[in-house]
Amino acid sequence: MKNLAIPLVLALALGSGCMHTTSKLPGVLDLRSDGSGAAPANDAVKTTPEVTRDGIGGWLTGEGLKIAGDKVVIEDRQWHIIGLFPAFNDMGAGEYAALPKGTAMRGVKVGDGLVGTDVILALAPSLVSWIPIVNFVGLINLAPRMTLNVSGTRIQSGGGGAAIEPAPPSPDEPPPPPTDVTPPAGT
Amino acid sequence: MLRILTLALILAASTGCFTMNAAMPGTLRTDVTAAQTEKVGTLTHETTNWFYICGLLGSPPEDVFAAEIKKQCQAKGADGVANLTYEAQTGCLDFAIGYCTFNIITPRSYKLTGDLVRIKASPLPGKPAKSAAAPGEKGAQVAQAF
Repeated sequence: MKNLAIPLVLALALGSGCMHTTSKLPGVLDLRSDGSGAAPANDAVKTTPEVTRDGIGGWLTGEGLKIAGDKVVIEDRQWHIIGLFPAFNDMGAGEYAALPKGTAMRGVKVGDGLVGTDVILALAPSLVSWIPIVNFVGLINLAPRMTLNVSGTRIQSGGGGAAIEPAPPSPDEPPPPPTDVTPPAGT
Repeated sequence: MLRILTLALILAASTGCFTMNAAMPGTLRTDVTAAQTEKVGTLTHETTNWFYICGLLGSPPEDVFAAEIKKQCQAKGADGVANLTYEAQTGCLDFAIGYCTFNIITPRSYKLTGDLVRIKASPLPGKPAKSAAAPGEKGAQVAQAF
């Protein structure tokens, strides 16, 4: 049995990769505009404690969704059991769902990494490993966590989503060019 | 040895390891519904970033994904990307390289997937994100090709 365990873990590692993080961003990334001409959205937004976490919860699973004025920051901490299996927390799904309806953001940044809290959380159990239960927790703690970071600036979408009425295409007409690829004047 | 370890820990705690912070072009809109989009293709982009010294050094530039997203959108005549999914992992080869080099070289793999779509909703006010790059930049060259 022991002989099978190592190849099994290795096979899983080969198949899935270590510290695998996946995050599906909400909505549509619209490249027709960078949003620089839109006014920032500063309306007050209320979030629930489940998505905006402070204290221990913030340490363990990331601070979640924080909206201050027009600034939006999402921090979500992913746990991995022995670096292979994501556990305890999704990657931003709850926070994305809690974004105000019809949110538009410019200057969006997406990424992940090991932040200071991750390193401390990974090392902390080893300092108290003489406590029996910590040895068990240590199994979970063999690999450090990754933290998802998403940030952006909220802008007013003006009710958004107003449809553009397309002109009926002529049968002989070639397919229309993309709406935003016209070179700037002077080029 | 203890001093080096302490220094590495302080560095890790202050700057972070394996830090990816990719700027997305355009605007992220949740006010656009699925009915207001038309799929014209699929976005797939994979890249590996080479970090050094346990991931402390070698963070990628912010525009690591932007040029590729713009390029693939323009190639398909798309206005944007729906269902954009960001994935990161330390794959088998990445792990092997890190292990063999005592984590001096520690690669990490990244993947972006999504649906290239035409958007029927009106755009927000601002400059077109595809041609927003300054002349001479990689993104600008792509935009000017169209």
